[in-house]
Amino acid sequence: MSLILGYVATLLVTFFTYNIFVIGLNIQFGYAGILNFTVITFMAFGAYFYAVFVMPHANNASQVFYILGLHWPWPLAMLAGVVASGALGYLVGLIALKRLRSDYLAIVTLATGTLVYGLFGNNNKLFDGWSGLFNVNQPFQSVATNHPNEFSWIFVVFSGVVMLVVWLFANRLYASPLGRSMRAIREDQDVVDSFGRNSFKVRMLAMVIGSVIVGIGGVLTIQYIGALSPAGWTTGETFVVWAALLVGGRANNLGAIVGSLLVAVVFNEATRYIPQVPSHPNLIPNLRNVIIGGLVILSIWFRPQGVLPEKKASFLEVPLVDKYAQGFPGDEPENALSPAASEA
Amino acid sequence: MANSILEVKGIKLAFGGVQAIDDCSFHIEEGTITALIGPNGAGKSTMVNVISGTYRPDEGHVIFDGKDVTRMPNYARAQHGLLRTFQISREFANMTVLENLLVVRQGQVGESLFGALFRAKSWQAQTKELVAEANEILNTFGLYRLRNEYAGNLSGGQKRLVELSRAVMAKPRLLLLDEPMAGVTPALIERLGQHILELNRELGISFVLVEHNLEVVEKICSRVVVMALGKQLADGTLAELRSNQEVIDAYLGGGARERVGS
Amino acid sequence: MTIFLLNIGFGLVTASVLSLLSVGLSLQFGVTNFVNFAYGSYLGVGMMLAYTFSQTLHFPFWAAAALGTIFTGVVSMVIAEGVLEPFVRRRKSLFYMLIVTFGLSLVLDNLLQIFYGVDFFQYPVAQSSPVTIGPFSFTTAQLEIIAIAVVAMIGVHLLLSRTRLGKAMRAMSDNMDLARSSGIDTKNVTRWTWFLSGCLAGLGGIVLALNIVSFQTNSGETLLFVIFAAVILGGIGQTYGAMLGALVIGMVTEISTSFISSAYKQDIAFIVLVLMLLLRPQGLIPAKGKA
Ligand SMILES: Nc1ncnc2c1ncn2[C@@H]1O[C@H](COP(=O)(O)OP(=O)(O)OP(=O)(O)O)[C@@H](O)[C@H]1O
Ligand SMILES: [Mg+2]
Repeated sequence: MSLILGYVATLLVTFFTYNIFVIGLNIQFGYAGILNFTVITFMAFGAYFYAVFVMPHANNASQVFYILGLHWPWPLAMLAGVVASGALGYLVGLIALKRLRSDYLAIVTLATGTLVYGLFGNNNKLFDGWSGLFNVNQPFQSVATNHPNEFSWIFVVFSGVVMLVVWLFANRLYASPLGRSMRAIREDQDVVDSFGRNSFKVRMLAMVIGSVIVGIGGVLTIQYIGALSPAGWTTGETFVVWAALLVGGRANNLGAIVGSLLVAVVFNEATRYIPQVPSHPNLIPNLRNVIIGGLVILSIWFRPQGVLPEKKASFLEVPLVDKYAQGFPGDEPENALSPAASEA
Repeated sequence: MANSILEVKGIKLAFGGVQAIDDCSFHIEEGTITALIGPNGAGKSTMVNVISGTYRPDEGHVIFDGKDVTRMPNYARAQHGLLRTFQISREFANMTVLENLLVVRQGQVGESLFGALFRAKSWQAQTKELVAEANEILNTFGLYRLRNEYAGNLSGGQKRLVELSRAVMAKPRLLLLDEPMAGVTPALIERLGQHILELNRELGISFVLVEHNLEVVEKICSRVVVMALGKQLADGTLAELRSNQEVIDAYLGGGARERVGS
Repeated sequence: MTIFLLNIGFGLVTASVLSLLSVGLSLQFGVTNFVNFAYGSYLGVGMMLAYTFSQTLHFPFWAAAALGTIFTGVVSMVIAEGVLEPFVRRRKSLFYMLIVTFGLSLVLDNLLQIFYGVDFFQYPVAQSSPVTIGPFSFTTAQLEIIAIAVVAMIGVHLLLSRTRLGKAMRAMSDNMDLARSSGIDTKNVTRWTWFLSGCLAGLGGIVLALNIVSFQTNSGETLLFVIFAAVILGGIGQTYGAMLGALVIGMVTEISTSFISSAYKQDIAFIVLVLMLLLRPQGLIPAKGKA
């Protein structure tokens, strides 16, 4: 019984953290049209920096090396992790958000991801290289060590609350004039500029906010598991987030929830227990990635707007009398606006 | 004599080998509708881009309202009331017509992150007022019943109207219109002309109108600036220009004849 | 000093590998106007096909390399016809095209791993002792790589300047609408461009594998952004620029190893890319109407 409960708790935490990742990407891509092809690197930044702020000084005798080791209280360390991933977003934005084609930004994110992965993996003085960090201090530590099952459920509530806050934040942002500017930039950046908005600043804001939110998800991940190594944040993970966003529906946060439920929870979990093929230990994970990649492509073909498409904006308004309800003076009624004029 | 709201002085701009603008100067008086005409490739669109700040000239100055704005980025110029539309309609396709208008009004409370998050009451109230204002504008342009359509789904002529009403929503002092009547039915040309006249009279907006259709120019523009080969060739009323041999050679009588009055 | 000169020699080899790859990406970008994020996987396809032809089917290595090259071209063409072009025809926005190719890279990388696993492979070619030429020192394989790249670059140059296909490709690169209205069969040219781009990627993958001797299916993956760096450096869509970009990136990354650990080679390429984007995003040879 307790095993099942623990499993359910883990599922819920996975669901909540993926939701947070997808909402972060949604603010970047769905709102502002920013192609971030290395979402998972921001998750790793949040997680690793949380870890080195919350853990005590590295004990060299144990052959585990990492920077800092400040032993801060976990809420402060959490903040540090989130700031770190936001800062990475800012740097990437500085390089690539100037008025360049959107391919360039995608290239820069991809390059950043490759580079950070190699750097963190090959350099064992930073975050303990390929073996990664473990025994990372968790929130509610004494519960975690003595009553792991209760810890799981406390963490379900904790991550659920964080997710709720992120969700409310994202929705308010969407409806606000700032969110509207972001979506307009997604449609046509130059036009937004020519109407007096500094689109670079607005895009940068979307980039940093998205990175911060993904970073929050990263902190939650390492807080729950207490460990993270490069094997836990491969490129494939970035695709899971993308697939969830595209399947769910870009620019719709409810879609983000549906997407992470379908892709990150149902699909990932359903395939987790397929027995391994002894001669091909990687076969199942490889097949999973093929399917995730295929899902990304197929969803763009069949339903680019996702299961839950972006909602059409509607406003409370005092109705007016339509001056032209009868058509236009001098025009044939109804015909006036229908023929699509040929563009030069 | 009225104040000039805009002055361009000695503008030069080359693209690789092409000297798109070659030492061009003219000025626009406040409160007028001025036409900018010239044969294809004369550099009119490029000039609009230079004035609005999309391109930076190699040489010369743009002076708006007595202030040298040559080095100012385009969004900062727009904040001073210098706005433009594009030769090809560039609506925000996946947003409703109403939203297209709401985006462009400056100085909204919810534009900053702080305002968006913590002053929701305030921007919600403001948005309500802006919606009412936008609906009024849409109603004058005959777009009211299309306000909740996605702008991308409209016809070419309707998109033209959206461009114009969106520009009005942004409260310009000087509006640069790059061929607003290109590819539009004659009935709609008539209406667009009327709208521009009304906006000029009622709201005091000054206009620079890039236009090939001389009938329209004759009807609504008080002054005409002629460009050819990147230079300012002449200016004055259309009647004056009709007797100017240079202008006739370069434009009115030249290869562009078939486009005149088309 | 001698190490420095040696590194210049290695720079030449790296530049040769990169030139094939960056020209292949650049040609395709110029014609289709979107970046192919699955390009890195095509390297793996070429590498592994050459391995299968030589090791499993016992073709002589040169024939296996040729077949690997051509089959990668075919794979590229089939993917373009079957997957990418339908999206283009539906007028999907640039965003979606990029995401589709990105998704494709995940599919291809994992398919390769399903077929070949995660083992390290070697081509059945004898490892010769290095030959000394002046201050430089090369293995025979490296000399062959340089020769292959030079021949291929001359070939690309002749193709672009002498053949109808090449001229059509250049015309489409400069101005798509003009090319179409002047009667170029753009569909067909696009198809051949994908083929050529795939061939260059495959050949690039094979010579890369020759150079690093022992390789895995994904050995070409991290090279993707180095290729991008070369392409952007040269001016996106500019074929000769891509050659120049490859030379610069190849030299800079190898020479840097005289001063810093070779583990940071790619970081140097990244720094060049960043400086380029900040200072001269249009590239060394800017293209008309692009970037
Ligand atoms: N971005 C650009 N790059 C290169 N050349 C350009 C660019 N924009 C304009 N030109 C060239 O500059 C010249 C002026 O072009 P411009 O578009 O300003 O003319 P125009 O007067 O607006 O013509 P039209 O009536 O056809 O709109 C043309 O020769 C054009 O080819
Ligand atoms: Mg023009």
